[in-house]
Amino acid sequence: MATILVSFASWEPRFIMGVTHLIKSGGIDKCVVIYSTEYATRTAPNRTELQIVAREHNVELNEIPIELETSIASWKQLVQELPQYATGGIDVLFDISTAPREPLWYTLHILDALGCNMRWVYHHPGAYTKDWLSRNSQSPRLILKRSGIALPGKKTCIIALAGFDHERLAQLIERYEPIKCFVGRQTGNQLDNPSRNTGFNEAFVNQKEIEVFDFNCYDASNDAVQSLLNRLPIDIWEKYNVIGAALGPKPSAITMFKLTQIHPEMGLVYIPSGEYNPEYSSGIDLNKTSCGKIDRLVPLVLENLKPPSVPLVAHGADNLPV
Amino acid sequence: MNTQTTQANPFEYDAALNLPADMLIDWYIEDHNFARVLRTTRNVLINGHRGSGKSMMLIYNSLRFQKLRHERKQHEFPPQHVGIYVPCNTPLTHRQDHELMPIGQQVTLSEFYFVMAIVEAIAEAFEAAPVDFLAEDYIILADELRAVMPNIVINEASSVFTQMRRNVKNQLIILQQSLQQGILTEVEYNAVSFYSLVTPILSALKRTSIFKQAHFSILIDDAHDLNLHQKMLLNSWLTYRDHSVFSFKVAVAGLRTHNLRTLSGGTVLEGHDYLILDLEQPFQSEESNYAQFAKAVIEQRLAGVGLEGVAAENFFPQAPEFEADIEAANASVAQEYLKAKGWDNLSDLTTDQKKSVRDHVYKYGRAKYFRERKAKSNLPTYAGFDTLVHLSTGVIRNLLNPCYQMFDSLVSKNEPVASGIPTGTQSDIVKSKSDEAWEQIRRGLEKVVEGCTKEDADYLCNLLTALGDYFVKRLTNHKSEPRILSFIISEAESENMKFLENLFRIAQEAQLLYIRSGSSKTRGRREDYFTPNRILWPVLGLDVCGQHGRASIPSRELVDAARFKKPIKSDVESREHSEQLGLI
Repeated sequence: MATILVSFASWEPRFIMGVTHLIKSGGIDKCVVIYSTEYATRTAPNRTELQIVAREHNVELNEIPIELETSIASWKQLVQELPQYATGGIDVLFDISTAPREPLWYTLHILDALGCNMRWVYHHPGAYTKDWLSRNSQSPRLILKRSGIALPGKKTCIIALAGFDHERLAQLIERYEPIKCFVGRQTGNQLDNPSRNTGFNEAFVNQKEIEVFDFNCYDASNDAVQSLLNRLPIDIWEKYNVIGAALGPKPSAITMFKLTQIHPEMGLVYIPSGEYNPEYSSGIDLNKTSCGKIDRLVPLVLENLKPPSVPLVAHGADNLPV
Repeated sequence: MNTQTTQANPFEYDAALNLPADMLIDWYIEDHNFARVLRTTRNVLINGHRGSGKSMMLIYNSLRFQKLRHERKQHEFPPQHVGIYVPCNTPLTHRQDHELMPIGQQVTLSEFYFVMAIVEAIAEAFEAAPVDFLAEDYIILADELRAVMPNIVINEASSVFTQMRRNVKNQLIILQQSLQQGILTEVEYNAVSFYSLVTPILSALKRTSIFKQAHFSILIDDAHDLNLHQKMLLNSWLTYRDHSVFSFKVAVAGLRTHNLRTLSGGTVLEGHDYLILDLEQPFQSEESNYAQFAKAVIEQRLAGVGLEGVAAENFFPQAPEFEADIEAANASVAQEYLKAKGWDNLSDLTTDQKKSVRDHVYKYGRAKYFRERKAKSNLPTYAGFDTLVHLSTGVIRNLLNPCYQMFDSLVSKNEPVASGIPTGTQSDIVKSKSDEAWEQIRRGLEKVVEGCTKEDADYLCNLLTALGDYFVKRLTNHKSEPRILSFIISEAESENMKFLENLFRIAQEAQLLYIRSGSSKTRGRREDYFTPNRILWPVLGLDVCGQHGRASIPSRELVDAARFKKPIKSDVESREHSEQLGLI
C-alpha cells in the first residue's frame, strides 16, 4: 500500500539525512514536508536537497508552509493543506525528529481525524551542541483540539515527561500553579543526559507536590504509555484538571498524545521557543532510530491497569520495522 | 504542597489556593483597612506583585472560609457580605479554541466559559458552606434556576446547588468534547451572558430569608489570566451601576499594564467604576505598614506551631557582634559630628540639635560600618528579623521563602527550632539565596522569563550588575545618602524608556525589580520608583536595610549600562530627605 512520509523541515543534518534514508529504503511514494515560514531561509538548503532526492526516487514532494508564531495560524494552515494529501485508510509515516511539538500534535490529530494509519519515526542526531539548544521561551499554550476537558472548581495537576530542560518544567509549574505534579525524568547516559540534567534533582526531587520517577522518554510504545499510566493515581482524572507536557526527547510527545487518546480530559500544553540554535545538532545516528505506531489505546486500558507484561526496552517502540 | 512534615514548617509559602484551609485561616492577618475595602459594596481592583497576598485575601473572604472562620473564630455566619471566589488561572481560562471562530462567536464562547465558572463558583460555595435556607427559600432558588437554566432537573429543591453545579459541569463537558472532535470547529451550546444567568441567580439569593440584607462580592482572582474578550467583558460588568445585589473585587498583578477597555470601546475609570486597593505600596496606612504586617505574619505562624508569644525579633535574632559593631560605628559618627559642630555633650543639646545628631547618625552610622568593613575579607552577617524584612523588598513571599529554608535547614539536621534560628544559619541561607539570584541572572533569564531574548537577558544582567556597582560606590563615597537602594529615572527620553520598559518588564516577571508609585519632590505629583530585589545585595556586601530616598539616574546612563556595560556615574546627587519611600 502507498505510504506517505510526513516530515518537518529543519536545518539540522538529521532532517535531510533521515528523510533521505527513509526514501531510499523504499515504500514511500509521496512526501509532505511541513516547514516554518519563520525559518524558511535557514531550512532552504535542506529542502532544496530533498527536492533532488525526491526526484531521483520518483517520490512526489509537497510542501506546507506554516507560521509557528501562533497556534491559530499553524493549525489553520495544516488543517487546510494536510487533507489534500492524506485521506482515510492511507498509511502515513511521520518523521517527528525535527517537528516542534505543537505542529507535531496538530499533525497527529488531523491524521487521526482523517482516519489514517499512523506510524512514527524518530532519528537521533549524532550529537547535540554543547551550547544552548533553544531559548527565549514564550507563554505556555494549550493545544487546539487537545486542550482537554477543564472544569471550574477543580485544581490543576501536571503530568510532564521531562528531559534536560528542567527550566521549562519550572516555568510550567510557575505558570499553572498545580497542586500536584508527576514528572517522568529521562533515564540513561545518552547524549550527555546526566550533565544536562544538572539541577533537576535540586529543583524537583523531594518537593512535596512533585512526584518524580524515572522514565525512558524515547520509548513511546503502548507498553510505555501503560507504564506511565501505572505511575499515576487512578483518581487524578476525576479529581483534577490534568495538563500533559512533553518536555523531554521528542518521542515523549507521542506518549503524551497517546495518553490523550485514552484520557481526552487531559489537555496538552506546549511552550514555544523564540530561538533555536543554528548548530542545534550534528549528524545522525541511524542505529538508535526509534519508531512505532499510533492507535487508540482505549481497549488496552479498559482491559487492565496492571504493570506492562513485557519489560520496557530502550528503543523498542512497537517493534515495527520502518 | 499539603503534606504535613513531622516538624511542620510554619513558613510554607505556596500559592494560597493550594494551602490547606486550616493553615490559611490560622495564618491570615486580619487587616482592618483591607477588610473595610473588601466589604464595600463598590467594585475594587486589587493590585499586587506576585506573592503579595492577593489570592489569600480573596480566599479568606470567600463563603467557604467565612463558614470555617465561623466555626473556628466565631465570625458572623451566614455573612451579610458573601464572597464568591472565582479563580482565573485555570485550564478553562487558558483555552484558545475560541480564536478559531469569527470575532462575535469568540466573545460569546469566552463569556460562556467565564459565566459558567462564576455559576459553578456560586454552586460550589453554597455546597461547601451550607446555609440554613427555609423551604420557601429553596423554592425561590429552584424556580429561578429552572427559568434561567432550561435543562436543569431539580427534583428536590434542597439540592439546587448540586444540580446547578452538575448542570454547569455537563454543559462544559459536552461543549469541550465537541471541540475535540474532527478538524472543524463547530460547536453548539446554549449561549449565556452574565446578565442572563449570574444576575438572576444572585438576585434570587438576595430574595431568600437569609440574604435579604446581604451583598455578594464576586471575587475574581488572577484577572490578568483572562483572555482579551473576558477582560473586556469584566470591565463592562464593572460599569454596571446598581450595586444593591453584587459587586466585583478583582485581583490583578500589574494593574499599570492591565487592559481597562470595555466591549463597547469605553474605559473603566478609577473612582467612578472602581476603587483601587494597591498592595504594591510599602505603606497602606499608619496602622498597617509592611514591617508591622510582616511581623504579624511571622508571629502568627510561629504561634501556629506552638511558639505563642515568641517575638519575630527573638526567633530571628540579630548577630550580637554585628549589633555591637553598628553601635560602635553610630557612636563614632556621633562623636565626629559633635566635634565638627563644636558641641560638647549630647545631653546639653537642644531638641533640634539632638534631632540633627540623630539624623546624622541615621545617615552615616551604618554606612561607616559597611564602608570600613570593606577591608575585611568576609561578608557581614545578614541576620535579624529587621534585615529579613528589608531583604523581602515589600513582598511577603520573599520574606517567607528564606525563613522556610532556614527552618527546614535546622529540621533536616535534627537541630532544635524552638529557640529560634541561629544567626549563622540565617546568614548562610541569605547569602546562598543571593548567590542563587545572581546565578540565575548570569545563566540567562531567557530560560525562565517568557518573551525574554538572550540579548534582553544579557542587557538586564549588565544593568543589574551596574546598579549593584553603583550602590556600592554610593555606599563608599556618597556624601548625603550613601545607603540608598531605590532609584527614579530622570531625563526620561522616549527611545531610552522604550528600551528600559522592556527590560523592567522582564526584571519584574523574574521578581528582580519592583516598581512602585510614590510622591515626588514636586508637590502633588506621583512618580514611579524602582527597587531591585534586595536579595541581590548581600553578595556585594551592601547594607540591605537601605535608607529613605531614591537616587536619580538619567535614562541614558541606564541604557548605556545595559548595552555597553558602562558604569553608572556615582556623582549624581540623589534627592535629599525624600518622603518615606523605602521599606523602613
